Amino acid sequence: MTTERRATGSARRPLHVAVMTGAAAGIYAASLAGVTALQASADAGLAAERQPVAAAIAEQRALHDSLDTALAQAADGYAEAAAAYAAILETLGAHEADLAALRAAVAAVEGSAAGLGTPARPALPTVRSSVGVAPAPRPATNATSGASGGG
Amino acid sequence: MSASVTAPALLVPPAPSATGLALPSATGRAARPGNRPTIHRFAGRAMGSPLRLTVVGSDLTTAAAAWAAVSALTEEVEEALSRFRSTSDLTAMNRRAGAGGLAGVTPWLARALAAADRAGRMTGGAFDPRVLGDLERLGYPGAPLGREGGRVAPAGERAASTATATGAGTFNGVGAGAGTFDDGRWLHLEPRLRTAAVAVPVDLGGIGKGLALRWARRALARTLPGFGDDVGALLEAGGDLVAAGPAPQDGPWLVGLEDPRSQETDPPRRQHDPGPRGEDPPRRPEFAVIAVTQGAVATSSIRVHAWAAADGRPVHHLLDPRTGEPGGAELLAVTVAGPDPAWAEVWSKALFLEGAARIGARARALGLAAWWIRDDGRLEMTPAARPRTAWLAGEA
Repeated sequence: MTTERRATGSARRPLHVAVMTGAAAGIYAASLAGVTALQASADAGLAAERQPVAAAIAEQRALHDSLDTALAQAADGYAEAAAAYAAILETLGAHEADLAALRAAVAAVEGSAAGLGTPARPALPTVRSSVGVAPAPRPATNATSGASGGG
Repeated sequence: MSASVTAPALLVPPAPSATGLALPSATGRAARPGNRPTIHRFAGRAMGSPLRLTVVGSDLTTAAAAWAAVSALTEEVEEALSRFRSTSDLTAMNRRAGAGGLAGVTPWLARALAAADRAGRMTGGAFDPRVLGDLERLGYPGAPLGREGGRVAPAGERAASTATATGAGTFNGVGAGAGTFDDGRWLHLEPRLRTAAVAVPVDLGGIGKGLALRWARRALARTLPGFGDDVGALLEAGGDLVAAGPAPQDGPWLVGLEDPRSQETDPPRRQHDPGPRGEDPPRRPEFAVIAVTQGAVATSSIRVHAWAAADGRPVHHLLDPRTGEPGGAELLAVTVAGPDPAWAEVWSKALFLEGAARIGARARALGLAAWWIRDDGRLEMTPAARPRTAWLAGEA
């Protein structure tokens, strides 16, 4: 009889322990789930609080991007203007060379004229000092705006 | 009514007139070799002025329909806005002036009153339709109003009056202010209900003509397919005009600015004689010719509607609402070109009232294309007007 009880008792003990262990694990899991939920809620609130800041940062980033683009375009424009200016400088150089050649030619002509023995002012044909300018005719009109006939 | 015929010409029956008052006649000129556009001309009378329409690049039937629409519209507007017609909507409203209660008005009158009110605000009071009392005091009456023998209180009396509203027997002193209701406004208007009331009788003559041209331009757009693109038209009404689309000649429409010093009068029954290219010979000397591609031109001048007042002094119809007396010191005429005929009319009058001393600064500040001639014959213009000037008498 005693032996049977012992056998029965030893057969119950593992089940009891298992139940206790399972209950403890369940309580732990529930606690963990609760803590996780609280943490998630806190994180969500924090994210919501930071959302305007994030949006502002994104907007600022977009502004910076557009500013960067504008600066790049301005740099391109400046580069183009610089290239055009360089091209003009080359043309100016050519013009200066032409002017120098013209100056030399004028000096040569002046020297030749000074060497001539003839009067400095040869007789030239008489020309009219001015020409008559016909007055511009009034163009034909399609209508007239003037005093109102009505009241 | 004048009917001018050029060769080759098509004399057509008068276009239908909805009112029977305008008796339009038309000349049509066939297309010439070299792709010269077809030109049709119509003439009649409206708003106390000659009414002329030139249509370029359209067939005669369509042009005649457009003329009929314009004639009918101008007659409707005149019946609504004329102070010279005893049956007009304006006269009926003026007879109720000061009574205070809103009464039904035609859509034309409701829109004209709203435009006049806005013009007064935009011009800082230089434009004010409440000058009717002063016009009548100076000897330019309209239709009898049936109150105090048709007399309308002039500005001086309105300003002097501080009486409270009586609503009967007098037009002045309607409210605590001068010529206003108790709330300080001269106009009570319900545009959606088309009801209105005025504190004192009003004159919508000048702005009414500009509005009639504005609305007539819309009628032309409805009745002339291609108007403004390959079909051109110019509509004149008593010194004001509106034009769009191609002109009879290459280039823009050319408009002569009448010399207000001229005392010549229109030859009777022959006011619009087309020249060899469809242009008109000058009816009076002109001091400038301006180019109009699309838009309006309006002139305020004292060449007509000038008379001697009862006390013998010379007066004219362009009154300064701030004084009740003729304004525009040392000026004879002001012309304004702009997109809208009603606003061109308003600004030509408002600039005229500035007088020779202030008109230049005012016109330049407003950015208007304006020409004015002083009483010593000098022509002046704004920078915006110079590019539009095709010819000047002084530079010929």
